[in-house]
Amino acid sequence: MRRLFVLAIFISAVLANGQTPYQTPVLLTTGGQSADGLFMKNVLTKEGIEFQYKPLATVADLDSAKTLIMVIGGSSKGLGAARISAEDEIARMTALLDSAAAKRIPVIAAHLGGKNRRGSLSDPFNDLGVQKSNHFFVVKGGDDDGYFKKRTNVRKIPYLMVDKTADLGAPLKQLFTKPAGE
Amino acid sequence: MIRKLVILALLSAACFISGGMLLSQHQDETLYPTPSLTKRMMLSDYFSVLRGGDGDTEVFEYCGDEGGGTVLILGGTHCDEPASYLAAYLLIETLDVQRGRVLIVPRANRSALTHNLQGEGHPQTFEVETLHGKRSFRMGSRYTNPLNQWPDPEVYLHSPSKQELSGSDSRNLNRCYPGRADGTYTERVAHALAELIKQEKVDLVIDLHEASPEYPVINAIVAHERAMDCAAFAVMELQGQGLEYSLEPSPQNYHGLSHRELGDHTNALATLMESANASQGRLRGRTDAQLVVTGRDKMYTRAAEIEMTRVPFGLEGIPLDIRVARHIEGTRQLVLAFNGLNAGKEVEFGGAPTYAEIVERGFGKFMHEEN
Repeated sequence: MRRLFVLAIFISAVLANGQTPYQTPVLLTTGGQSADGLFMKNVLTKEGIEFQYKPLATVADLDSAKTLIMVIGGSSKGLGAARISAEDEIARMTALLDSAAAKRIPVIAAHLGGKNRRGSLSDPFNDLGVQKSNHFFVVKGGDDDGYFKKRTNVRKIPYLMVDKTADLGAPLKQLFTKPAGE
Repeated sequence: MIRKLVILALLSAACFISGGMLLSQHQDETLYPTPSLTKRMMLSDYFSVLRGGDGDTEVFEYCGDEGGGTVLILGGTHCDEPASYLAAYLLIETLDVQRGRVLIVPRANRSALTHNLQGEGHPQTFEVETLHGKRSFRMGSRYTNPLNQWPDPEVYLHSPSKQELSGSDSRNLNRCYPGRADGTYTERVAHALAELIKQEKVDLVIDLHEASPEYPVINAIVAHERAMDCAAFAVMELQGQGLEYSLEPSPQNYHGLSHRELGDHTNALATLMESANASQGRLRGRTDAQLVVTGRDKMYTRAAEIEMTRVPFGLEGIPLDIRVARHIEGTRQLVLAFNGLNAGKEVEFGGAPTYAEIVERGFGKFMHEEN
């Protein structure tokens, strides 16, 4: 909680200074080992946002990153393909998110997989991602029950729902663009 | 004496009728390829051991005027997943290839179309409305017919991984890849398909499937790691059209499946698509030809209400038209994504109806009785 408070102050200070807190390069990873990270990879590539994609990123990978983007939602096939248990994936996510907070690296969480990435397998990953991020995106279909909306409201972090993944391009680009007048 | 003769006559008639029904399951449906068809081959052209047997199956080739890449579409790997082979039939009867080459094997495991799975109560056939009246199609099984491969081992040892699978999976084509030239009947079919891919230098494989509405990998494209970028672009486009699709990576430690083994053992990008088929699900109620075609099942509607399904399942069900439409649109988007990533190897085709057209009119209305 204290780390989040420090990060919130940091972001406020940066914004007050006229800079966006979301700098490149981005470390892009998944939370739940779904292949949805590839959708974000496509969006970042298209928008020309510098990034490194590591589905199994560790704390050490944050050394060269200025923003962490975590695409959340679980996949049994993905966990199997990565040879990692759900418990170990939660531990990896927790370490990464806590380290990002300690290093004052802002975190964007995104849920792109719709209804398929909700439910008993996905929601532990989803919950962790939304609880420890500074900005949240969701593609329509993934939040029909208001699960993410409710949590982002409680935490008072920005929440944006888009119709389809490709629509994330403009708002993401905006996040990484310095405010006018810089 | 007369009574005995009557009983004998009735028994003979019953044997004659049921024998005829059994034999009719071995009769392939007539298909009507478009004039764009360039060659009609047999799988045994790539592995002669199959020649003349139930495992030998047709390969349809459509070549464009311009050179490009080669796409292989597999239907009927599991023949209790009718959208898989009906989507392949529909492509055969509508396709017009302008660039590159499309190969279609609509009955990948032809033996599996010659019988039903015991205990499932599946109909032998079902009918679809076309512009020329009703057209009948067979409903088959997930497995090779035991007449072609029997008995099952206690444990199936997959080759070459040595992974242990259930004995019945020895007759499951999608657990037998990459196959063996001197293996079981099903392994020889898998080997022949892998040979086709190698000899024809196939760039992209699309293996069409269906799954139970409660199965975790549903409304999905599964892709080998080399095919993930291509599949990701396709899924994004499909989602952009409002179609729920997920992208799933092929597990590296689960062997025998097309997306794993064809990706590992050939140069092709291997993908697989799943749609939701209530008639093969465990939670279904009455099982008949209507269920296959309409996809309506009140037991599944109830299951969805208590969140026991992985896809929405309302009273309208998930009809065959929607399932075929998803496979056609999914195929189209995979090919377009492949084109975007492989300049100079583009495959361009027209003729196939769009998702919206199939859902509005029914896929049967686009099938041809004559060409």
